[in-house]
Amino acid sequence: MIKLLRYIKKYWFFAILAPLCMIGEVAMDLILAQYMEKMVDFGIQTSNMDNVVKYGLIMLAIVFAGVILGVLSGVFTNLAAFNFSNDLRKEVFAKIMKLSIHQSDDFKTGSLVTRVTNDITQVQNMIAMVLRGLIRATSFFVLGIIFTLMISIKFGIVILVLLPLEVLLIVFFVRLVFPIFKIIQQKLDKVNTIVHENVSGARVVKAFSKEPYEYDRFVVANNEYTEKNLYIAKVMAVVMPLFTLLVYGSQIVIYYLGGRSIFSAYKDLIGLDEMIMVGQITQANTYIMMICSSIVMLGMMFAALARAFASASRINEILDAPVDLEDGKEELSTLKEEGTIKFENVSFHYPESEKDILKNISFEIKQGETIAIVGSTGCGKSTLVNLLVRFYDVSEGKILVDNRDVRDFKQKDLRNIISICLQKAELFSGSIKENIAFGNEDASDDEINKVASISQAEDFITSKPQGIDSYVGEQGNELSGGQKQRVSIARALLKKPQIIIFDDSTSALDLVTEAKLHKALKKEMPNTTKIIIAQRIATAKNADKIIVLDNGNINGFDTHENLMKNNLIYQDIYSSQLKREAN
Amino acid sequence: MAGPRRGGMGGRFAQPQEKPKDRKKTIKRLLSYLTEHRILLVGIVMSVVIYSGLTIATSIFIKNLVASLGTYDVETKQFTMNPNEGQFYLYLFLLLGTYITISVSNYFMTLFCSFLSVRVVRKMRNELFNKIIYLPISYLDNNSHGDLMSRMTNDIDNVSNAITQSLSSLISGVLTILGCLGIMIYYSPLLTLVSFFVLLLTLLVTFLIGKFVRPLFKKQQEVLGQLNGQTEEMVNGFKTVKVYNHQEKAIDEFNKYSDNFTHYSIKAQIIAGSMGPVMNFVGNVGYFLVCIFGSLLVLNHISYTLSGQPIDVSIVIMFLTTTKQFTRPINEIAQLYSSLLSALAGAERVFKVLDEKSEDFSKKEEFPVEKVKGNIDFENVNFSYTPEKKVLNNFSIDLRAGHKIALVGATGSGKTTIVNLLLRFYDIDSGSIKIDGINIQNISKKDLRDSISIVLQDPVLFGDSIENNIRYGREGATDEEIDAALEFANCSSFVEALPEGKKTILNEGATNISQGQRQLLTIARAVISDPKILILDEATSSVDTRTEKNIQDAMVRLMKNRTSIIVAHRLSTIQDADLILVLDQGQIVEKGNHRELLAIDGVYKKLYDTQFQGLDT
Repeated sequence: MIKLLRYIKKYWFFAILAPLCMIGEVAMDLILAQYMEKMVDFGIQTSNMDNVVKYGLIMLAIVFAGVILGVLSGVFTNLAAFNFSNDLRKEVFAKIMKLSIHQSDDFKTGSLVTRVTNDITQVQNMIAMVLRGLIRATSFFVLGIIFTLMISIKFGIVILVLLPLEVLLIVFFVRLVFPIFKIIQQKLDKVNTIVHENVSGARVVKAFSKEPYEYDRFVVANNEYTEKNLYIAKVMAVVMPLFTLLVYGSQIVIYYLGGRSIFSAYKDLIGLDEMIMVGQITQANTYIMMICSSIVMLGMMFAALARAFASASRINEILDAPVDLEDGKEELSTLKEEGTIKFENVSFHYPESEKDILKNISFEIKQGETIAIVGSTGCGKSTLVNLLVRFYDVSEGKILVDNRDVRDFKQKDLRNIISICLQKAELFSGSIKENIAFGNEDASDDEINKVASISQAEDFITSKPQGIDSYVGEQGNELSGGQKQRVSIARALLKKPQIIIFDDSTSALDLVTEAKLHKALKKEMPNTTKIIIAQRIATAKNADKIIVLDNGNINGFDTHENLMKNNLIYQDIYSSQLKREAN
Repeated sequence: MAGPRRGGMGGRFAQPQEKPKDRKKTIKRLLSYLTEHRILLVGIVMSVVIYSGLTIATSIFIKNLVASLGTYDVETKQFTMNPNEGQFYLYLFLLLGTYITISVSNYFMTLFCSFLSVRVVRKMRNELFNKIIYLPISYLDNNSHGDLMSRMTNDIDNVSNAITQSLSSLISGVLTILGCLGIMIYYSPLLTLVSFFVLLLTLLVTFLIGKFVRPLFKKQQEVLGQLNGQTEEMVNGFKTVKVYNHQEKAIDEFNKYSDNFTHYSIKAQIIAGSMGPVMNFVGNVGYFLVCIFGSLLVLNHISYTLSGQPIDVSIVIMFLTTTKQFTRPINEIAQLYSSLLSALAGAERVFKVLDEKSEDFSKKEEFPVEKVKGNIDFENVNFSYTPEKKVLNNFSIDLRAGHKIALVGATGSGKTTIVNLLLRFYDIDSGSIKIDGINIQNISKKDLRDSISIVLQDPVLFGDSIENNIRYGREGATDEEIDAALEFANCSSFVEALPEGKKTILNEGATNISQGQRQLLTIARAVISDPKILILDEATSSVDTRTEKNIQDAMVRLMKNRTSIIVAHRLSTIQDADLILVLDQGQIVEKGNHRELLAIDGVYKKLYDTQFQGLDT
């Protein structure tokens, strides 16, 4: 938390003025209460009109000063808190953009989003709360006690009894209720999960005629959730009246003490200056109420502080994450543009695991070649290409592109040379055109139309009423899977890369379309090196060479014909797809 | 406490005002939920009446208590009115008793309200869920799932909040206002006017600030939405952002949104934040006015109580309290109004779902599941999801029991529609579908679905153990049967590799196993239900081809005497089918077995060639 405070330095001016104004406002409030007393005791009680007007005007002045100070403290607080969070938010987002793929996977995307949104808001609220609320509550508390004692030391006893009782009540409440909140959240999640499962899995529920079963399951979850809620409500129902009863009780004691002092003064006709005046009694009651509510405020704030601290440490986790892929130093101008790829004894395992995903891989690809990679799920196909674009770094060995280690490139240059179409086509809300031009904003319409045609996206684009300007929806959800893949391929082609990788990125295309795509690629981009990860043999078999991966090892690297002759795994994959015909 | 309590950071303005459409009807219906709990309602009303009545009474007691302390003139150092000890203790005890009673009635009030809210809301939730599970698939397909979920959560929560908080506040607010007003008018109609003026001032200020701040908050929400949306997109598409070197642009854009958000937030929060001090100000101005006018009235003996006595100092002091007591609930009710509105809007949205038509489970003909053979006939079936676009056009097929039938065709050719119709997820427009000669319109959907098992492309599993997920297919299946089903679907090896084996709890969306493994589990689940008719809709699309082959072989043995319908992209899975139907735009363009279709040299042959020989690329 403390670490994050450096972001408020720039706004120290606001951050100091805000609490100062707040203290001023509180002081005005408390001074006001004194004049209220004077108003009652010397004005109204004695029907002294001059005094009423005099005190009244003073009060108005105080109130006016109070409102100015109050508004100002709000202004300063908001300026400090929001500017602080704005800077922090930008910093966090910029850092996220610097994270490696591996780190972002570790953080999980959902959690990254929450950190930028919720967690920063939490910290921002906390700053605002400390600058205003905490100061306010503390001043009320301290000044309230001082002023009460100034009226009469006797009233100190009331505070002395009241405070521990109140704190006890709060502690009791917190101990009883807070653990339950967590359980309530879990129970609520359970309820929501069941609803979600039933909405999204409705076909299965219906097909298995499980409606009554699901209903029973829901009723149980709903009951559990309701029970816990009711428990909290019950505790609240006890604690809240007890709390007010405490305040009321001290009010009565104060009346009693004040009253007794007046009666004894009246009976004994003693020094009237020591007598507690009626207005003072009312005033003391006001202070007591202030003290009580400030304690409640403080209690609530500490609960909120705990939450904000948790948020702060989550934000720090991002800010403190080390840069784990260092940029290379090579200038692009010194590089030859070829598109050759060379793996030299490459091994890879994830940092946190021992198990090698790739073991001692070596192979070479020449410029303009088309290479297919086949193998069962989990054999390391995607990992292999991820290393090539430096989503991860190799554990051992090296990868050369144009005869230079990929780690010597600036990441930006490397990714300009190599385009990769991911398995999951990630699109962004905007038009089809904007999505194709993503990362390539200067492209001309002709260029965009050209790549759309190579990627076989032209047909479906022209069939849309708004053509290439059609909106694709959030994450491209208004397009079908195959359409998304084609847009993402067009996007990759627009970069005019030397090397293009298709990481199972045509899985949703039918075979005819896929074949047309590859034909067009061959024709339009003959000098571009192409790597195709494929499930279907039909896709792979026309490549110049095919890599057969098995358990992180290269089991074969040859043409289709040769592999059919001497590679058992390849034959097996082939026959599983062609099985009965072979029989 | 001086002045009214400070509001939160403008929270009350934050939610957009949502207005129910047919307020009267919704209120009536919502009330019918409440009136089921008459005793609770009576309890609530009673405790609220006691609570508010006594709260008002306290101001009178305090007034008398203060009066009994006499009046002391500081200048003459004389009591101008002597204190009365007996009266003082009487009122002190009365006050004590009142406070205790108030607290007790407060306890019951809160308790009863919670009981009521919890019961009403639980019932609403159950009813809504019961509705949801019986909604026709067409509803779920055509309505946003998120929207349906939010009815279950947000909307019902709004109703719940309204009942817990608003109900008692509303009653007690109205009572307090009336009571205070009564007392004030009784003691001094003139001074009441002053209080009224204060009230008007308060309302005016609230209204003005609200008017200023509401559009700002709306704007703030809007900008926040953009900010969050951008963050989510960039983080979800992280890999793509990196691959296309889009980071800097993303950061620029983010900074722009963030600055924008900060700008509007500061504006909105500053204005909303001044609410507290300004209300404080207004409250104190009111205090001042009551003092001035009160004193004037007392001095000049202008005002009289309704019983004809001149007003005295203690009445003025009482007015200082009642003015506050009287403005507060009015303010509260003004705030409640917006929460009541959103509760009503929420209730309306819930009721709207409750009024949807449920699936019809009635039957005209018996259809004993054990006796199903599995002959399926589609006769001249016409069907469309939307009137403009016909999906099936005069579609007829005749599937014999015990056969393996494959449906092949491009996306949108109507393969999945046939599955939808057979299970009566959708009902046909004309023609008929018969199983063993019985029209499926005439049999109960439950009987129909009990006789058919389906495995879908997108595998649906539940957040429960693997074991229980399999048991979903047939309740009461023994451990051995489950093991056998897992074995059958080639699940055993990966299930055993999981730390807790088949007791492993699948997390939501079952992300702890791969898509292919999820598909295998759904096959195991379908198999254990021992269906007469089995439908596999792209059921092994994510399973690698070698595993798929194993399952296919097992399936042949299992389905010997049953009907199976297979929808597949990969032709390898269906070559041994008894009948292959090639669909195109809702029509059967070719039919026959693998060899016959190859001989035709048509669509199927072409598909086959691309898939197996590979195209010349």
